[in-house]
Amino acid sequence: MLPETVLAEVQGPARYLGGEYNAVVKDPAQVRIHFALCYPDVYEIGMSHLGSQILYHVINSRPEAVCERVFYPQADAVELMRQGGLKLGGLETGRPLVDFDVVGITLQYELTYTTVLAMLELGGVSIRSDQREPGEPLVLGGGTCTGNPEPLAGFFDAFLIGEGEEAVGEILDTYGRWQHGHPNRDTRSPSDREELLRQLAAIPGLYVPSLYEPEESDEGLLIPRLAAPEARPTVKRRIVEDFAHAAIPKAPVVPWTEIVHDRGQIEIARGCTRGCRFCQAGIFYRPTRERSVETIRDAATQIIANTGFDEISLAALNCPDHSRISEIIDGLHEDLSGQRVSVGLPSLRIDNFSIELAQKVQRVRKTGLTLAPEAGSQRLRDVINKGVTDQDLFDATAAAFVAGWETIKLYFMIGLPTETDQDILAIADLLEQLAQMGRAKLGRRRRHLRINVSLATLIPKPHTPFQWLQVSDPAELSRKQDLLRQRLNKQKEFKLSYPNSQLTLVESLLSRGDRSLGPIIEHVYAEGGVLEAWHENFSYARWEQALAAVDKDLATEVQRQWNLNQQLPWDHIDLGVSREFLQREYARAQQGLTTPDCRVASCQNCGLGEMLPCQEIIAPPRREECTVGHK
Amino acid sequence: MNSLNPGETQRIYVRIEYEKVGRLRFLGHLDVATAFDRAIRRAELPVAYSKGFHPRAKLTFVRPLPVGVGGLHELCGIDLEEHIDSAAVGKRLHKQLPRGLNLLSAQVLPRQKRSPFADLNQVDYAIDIDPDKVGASELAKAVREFLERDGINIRRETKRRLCTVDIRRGTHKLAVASSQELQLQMSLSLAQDDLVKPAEVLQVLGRLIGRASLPVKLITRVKLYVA
Repeated sequence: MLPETVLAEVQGPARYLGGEYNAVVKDPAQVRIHFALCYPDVYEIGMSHLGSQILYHVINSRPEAVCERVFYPQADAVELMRQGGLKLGGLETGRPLVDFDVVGITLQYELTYTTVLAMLELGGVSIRSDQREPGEPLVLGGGTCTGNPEPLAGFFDAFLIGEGEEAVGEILDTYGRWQHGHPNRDTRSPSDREELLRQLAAIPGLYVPSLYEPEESDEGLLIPRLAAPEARPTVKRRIVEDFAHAAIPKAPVVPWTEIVHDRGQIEIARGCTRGCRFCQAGIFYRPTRERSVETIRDAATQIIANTGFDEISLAALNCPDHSRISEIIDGLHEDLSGQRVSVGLPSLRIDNFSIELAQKVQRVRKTGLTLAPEAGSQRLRDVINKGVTDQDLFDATAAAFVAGWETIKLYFMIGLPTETDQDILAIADLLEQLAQMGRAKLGRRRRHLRINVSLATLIPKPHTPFQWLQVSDPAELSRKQDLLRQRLNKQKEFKLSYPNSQLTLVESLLSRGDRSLGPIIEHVYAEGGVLEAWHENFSYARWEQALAAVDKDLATEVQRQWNLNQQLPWDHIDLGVSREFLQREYARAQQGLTTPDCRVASCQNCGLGEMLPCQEIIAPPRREECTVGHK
Repeated sequence: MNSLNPGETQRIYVRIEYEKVGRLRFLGHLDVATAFDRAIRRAELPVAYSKGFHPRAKLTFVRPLPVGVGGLHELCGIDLEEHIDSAAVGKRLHKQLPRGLNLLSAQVLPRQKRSPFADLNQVDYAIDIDPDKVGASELAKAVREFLERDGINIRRETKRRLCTVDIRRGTHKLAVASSQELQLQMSLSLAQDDLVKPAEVLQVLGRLIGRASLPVKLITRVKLYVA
């Protein structure tokens, strides 16, 4: 919420207005705990994030607390704010971050780390946790990046590992009790603040980095060691066991201006146990849990009634995996088509069934269909445990062409383990076969055929079976890109795109980094790095220079070698999946052996069963899958 | 005379009058249209939807306002699929529109061929000028000079070309208000042949004072009407 003098001068003032429909504004005098929920990116991105909507709803449901939303402004607004001495604050009341009790920051993507620092500084909060005054807000982090919080350890007072909707209530309870004993911010002492951190560390899932001291390992990595009696050897991930009945934001804030996901969202399921070996979300959100058709229909109807959105989108890591997905889509059509509300279905798997679902939700409009085979050859798809065959892909695309789609987008990755030139050329073979089939199926409309191909680079993520992989040499990766480009060059149906490879390298560095990266991130921020997830703001040279300043070479750091038995900076973060399972999966990948989904086959002993009663929680497979089984 | 073609559904039209004020004047036109679309769906009004892939409620806005400009009597039309009385539309929509887009009246109109807005040909603006930067007497003098001229030619860029137009003819009223605020009040033509835009008047006044433009604090469109 910016003042009118600033609104009059900036591009797109609507995103700084605040006061949106369903925004919760409470009288600050009537609540005790003031929570600023920050998304380190612009309004259009942050407002689309479902996790933030859930927390906003959960916190504001508590009478003693209030939650305000904070996003990072565009450069023109930041400039005007600095000139006018204005601090970054909540959209609801405009109060600066420093006036809140808790500043919670969502960490979804490594390239937002510099924006985290920018938000704190523009909000008047000290960047480093050890320099924060006792009266300053508690700075909390959460989100998938907390699988390895170490690069940010110096900036956060605590991290919540895992799912937040239950834990945030415990954090507020603990904070409230502590606040009761220390009501006056101005007279709090450093030891009062330490007392709060120790109390927070007792909450399951809460990691307080200052209770650990880094120690250099044989491989030259900083490994956190226990440094206080309250520190626990491992911090276990929070998992909502009763997801079916967990809080659903049924009156989400309706944005003033178009955002990335400009629609209602209903989370139908959480987690995926398909077991793709590169996928961090697949580990971070285990096990697969789902909501009932009735709950989903009821929530969707309420969301539309409360917002007026013209579309409701189903959210899950893989929507077609819901055991009753057909009923959900049919039910939503029945409930909502009278109001011209369409149903959106993101993230499709590659099978006929998914195409049938896609047809259901897109009865008329045939926008592009996106499929992710990830690798070109069957051998390599087995290595990454993608569980998709060439036949699946042919069947699915054939069904799509017949159903009327003309544009297909395919995602592939390069830099996968055991990858050879043959695997790269297999992508071209596959694409050419698909194009041939597309032309045949489309008949007279064949000239409309478009196959867009995105060729990303594998980024080994912590807590995945690929966490020990060495990143490929950039020169080798670009040679492979060229190999594919040359093969497909003259065929007009194909359009190749490559995500920025330098950005990928920095993401790689940050995702498996240790505490030594803290000063690097700070350096890059000080040199102007902010909103770096936007390519136009990203500078590889800035990261290179920041590392050079401490006598390190970015390329060497990124291409570090790892071994299966070494200590890892994130060993103390326990997502529930055991190191033994990840090692086993790593070995099976090298041998090209697949591992089935535990929802369809039996338990694969990933380790989660020791943390919670998996068998009781995990969602059943779709009926047709019980007979077909995992391919 | 008023008979419909076979198959043509009867068109029921609601004339909506609303304000766009306060912070919401910073909404762009598309954002206002989306806010109405969502408010209408929340209000469960029996609106007619456009055909095609992406059906939207059939809404017509009269001369959309730019970002930053407020309006005190803005007009919009909604096509309904079935009849509903004016009071019910007003009550339901009033509850659902966000504060700042305030409903002033809703009137269900009898079926007619022409748009109820087709005859609008004049518009009033109230424009607050920063009194710290321009004196009231200085501004009044510029206004007098403006009005004394027989013709004022300015260059206007349209989508296709650059042309010269006379804006004096379509400026029906121009005055400095005598209230505490330093305010310009103007009545401008909306007719195609002698259309005048407020920014053009401001530009000419600025030049008469010897500046590139006038230091504007706030532009408000007061009303659109048939002169």
